[in-house]
Amino acid sequence: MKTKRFLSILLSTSLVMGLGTPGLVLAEENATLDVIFYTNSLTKDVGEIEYINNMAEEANVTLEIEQISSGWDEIKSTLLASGDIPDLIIGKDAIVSSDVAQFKGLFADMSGMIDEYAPNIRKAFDEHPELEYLATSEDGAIYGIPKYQRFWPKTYIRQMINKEWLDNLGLEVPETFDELYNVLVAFKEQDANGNGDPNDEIPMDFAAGVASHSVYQMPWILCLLCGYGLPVTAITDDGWYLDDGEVKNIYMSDEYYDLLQFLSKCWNEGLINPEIFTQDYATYAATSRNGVVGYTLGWDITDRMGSGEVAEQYEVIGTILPSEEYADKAVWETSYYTLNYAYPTAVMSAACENKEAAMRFLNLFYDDTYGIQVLFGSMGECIQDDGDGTYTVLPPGDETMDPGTWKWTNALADMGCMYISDDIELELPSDMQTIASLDEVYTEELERVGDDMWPGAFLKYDDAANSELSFYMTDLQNLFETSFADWLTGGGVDEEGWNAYKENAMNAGYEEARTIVQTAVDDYFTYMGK
Amino acid sequence: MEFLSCRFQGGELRKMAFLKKTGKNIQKHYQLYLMVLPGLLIIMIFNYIPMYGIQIAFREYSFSTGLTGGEWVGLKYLERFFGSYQFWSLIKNTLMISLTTILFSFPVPIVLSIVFNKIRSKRQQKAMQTIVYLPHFISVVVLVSIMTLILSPNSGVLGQIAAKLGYNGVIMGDSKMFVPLYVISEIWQHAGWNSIIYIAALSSIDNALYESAYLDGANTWQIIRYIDLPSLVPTMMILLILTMGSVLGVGFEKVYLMQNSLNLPVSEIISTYVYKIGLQSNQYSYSAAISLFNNVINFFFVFVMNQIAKKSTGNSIW
Repeated sequence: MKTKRFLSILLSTSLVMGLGTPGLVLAEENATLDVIFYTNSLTKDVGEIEYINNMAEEANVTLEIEQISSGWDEIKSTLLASGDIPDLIIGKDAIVSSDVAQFKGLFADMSGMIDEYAPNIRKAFDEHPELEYLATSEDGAIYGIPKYQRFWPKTYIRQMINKEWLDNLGLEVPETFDELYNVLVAFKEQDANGNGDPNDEIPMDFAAGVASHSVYQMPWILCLLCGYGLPVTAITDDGWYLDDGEVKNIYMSDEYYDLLQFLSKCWNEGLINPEIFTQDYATYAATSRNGVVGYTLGWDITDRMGSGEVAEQYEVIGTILPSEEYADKAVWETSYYTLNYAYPTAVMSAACENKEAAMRFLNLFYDDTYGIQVLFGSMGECIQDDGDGTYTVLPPGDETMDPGTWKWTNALADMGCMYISDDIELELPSDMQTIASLDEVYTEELERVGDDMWPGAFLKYDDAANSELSFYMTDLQNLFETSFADWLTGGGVDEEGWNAYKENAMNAGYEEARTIVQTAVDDYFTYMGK
Repeated sequence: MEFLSCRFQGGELRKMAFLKKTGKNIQKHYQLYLMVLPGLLIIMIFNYIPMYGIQIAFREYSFSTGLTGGEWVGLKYLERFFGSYQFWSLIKNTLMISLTTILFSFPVPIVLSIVFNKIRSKRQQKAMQTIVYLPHFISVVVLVSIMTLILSPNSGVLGQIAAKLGYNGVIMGDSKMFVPLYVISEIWQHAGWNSIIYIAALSSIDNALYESAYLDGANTWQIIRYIDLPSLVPTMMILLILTMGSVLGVGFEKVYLMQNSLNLPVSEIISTYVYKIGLQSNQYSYSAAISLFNNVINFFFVFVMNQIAKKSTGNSIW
């Protein structure tokens, strides 16, 4: 007992003394930091990445690096359970927000230190207040640093059509549902690819349900709802969207009812690949790479059709309208926030002895020039400084690598903690340019989304609300998913069935769930001053 | 009063006699008790002690406060489950899948083992056995992928045959086909493996029985009917009781892997629901409550089955 008491007095005095020591004095001293970098398996030894060394030097720290690119989940659980974590853990998805909630005492609250030691992060939070909202937990503390990647596109899903088939049959790119229907019928009945067999074309193919996505996402074909002006987001499956700030659900909308009639008509005519609900993503990808699909949806042409000859036949097409009168209402799918923001991408141990030094180091990830290097690689090797404040991402130094592999090898890339300032002018590598150019098709439609862009990445729920919401959503998603499949393949839905379905959804807690989400959205908008 | 105290004393005496007897018993057979001890310890440590975690089913579990820290909410989560929109369909689907599986897959290993037992050549018997139980080692993920591929209407062998025969649609996505597919693949994969225990039981039958049966002029059917089957009954009963214990606990992986939007109305079972709500939505208290309910029902089934077996055949676990 005596020794214990003695120890605790010793500890608390040293703690008080530690607090009393002015940070500036320490800042001059070189500090050693234990850091875990969670990286992609392609990434080379982090200690050999030039910009990491430059950052360490600038922050006046010595890094003891441990790099982990596989088996992280096992390592993580023992690491967190032991309570002995390194000074910093850096990497997207290395520590997730539920870890932060579960092991609250393990991570340092950086809210006070950011103002003092991390001017870049402060500046970024001021420029993008949603970053601070994302990072701040309910109790007002900041346990992790988010990332802002900026360059990822606004849209997650694009629709593509086989232009060569259209040309072969003398058809125009469809702009309305009726035209789309006619095109699909032509693809089915005629020999669109000109190989002499009129039956080897699949007019329409898309991913629907868990089997094909392997994660929960809504059936991609529901992006057609954008034609009605519903700004959907395809990266999740809960179906929420904003209508002038009011939370609504696509699965409960009249537009959805309308679209189902159209899709069910397509299904009955055999225009849709019968395997949409059962094929896995690998099969979905393989089918389209054979060049047998007419109209499909996905990330981009390279992803869906590969980079060979088949890809050249396809073209990304703009929003298809239910009818002409929707021309000034149409929008397009956007998952911008989910694609560009992540939290947390760096956390600090509460037991870190040199919090100031660690903060100084983290601060550099938010530096203008280091930010882009985190994403694309070191200056000189991967990025060229054009001198006038603009930068160019260089083509791969190794000719055997594509730009993506080159980036993953030489940088923390998407796995890193970073902030890409909106002021930086950077010329992108070719693969990113194609992505950006794919957004161009939808420029006008995306502008119409405006403030109704779904802020899913920023929504925060307290424990009770979260528990309620997931309870309702598990039942609702079951209802939505089965009804969609049932109606699509079973000849559509009539008024009576639709009303019964809506009543079921109400019984399963739709209104309660909507209210919870609305509150979270309102909280976010209030914070952002909208 | 005197009578009562007498009885009390009598009880006391009997208790002491029992303790004495047990003590002697342990002393006499201590080697056997020592052999049981490690098993008992393992069951204590890994099955009984963790049961204190059941309380999270009655608490508002949160990460930061730990197992015992959450606020006590009593039966809230059980009530929520009973009141759930999906409750009855979950129970119905689970029972449908598990009872059909038991009904159809239980007799197959018995038949297989008797057939194997009749094969004369030892080498052929071994080879056949190995062939039949090899599928057991295929992982469920691979098995379901194989099913999806061969049943695909565009590229699968069986899928195309079915299409030629006039079947219109996707077999894996047909809600009427879900249970048959599940059961058939289950039999194909596990019947061989499950027959091992019966083969062992058959090999322990005294050869003298067979010989005297031959001498009396019994044919193969009669030998099966009057020697093989009766000697398998105890094994069958114990296995049946044990299977009944998992009536509501249908294997999660396979159903989950076979699930798609089309068959969801028949393929959403308790364990997949628990997975969705418990692990994907982090509702640990709720999923603990459902699992607890599940186990209580399973225990009930074991109990009832055991009583039935005891009454009808005299074979039982306790």
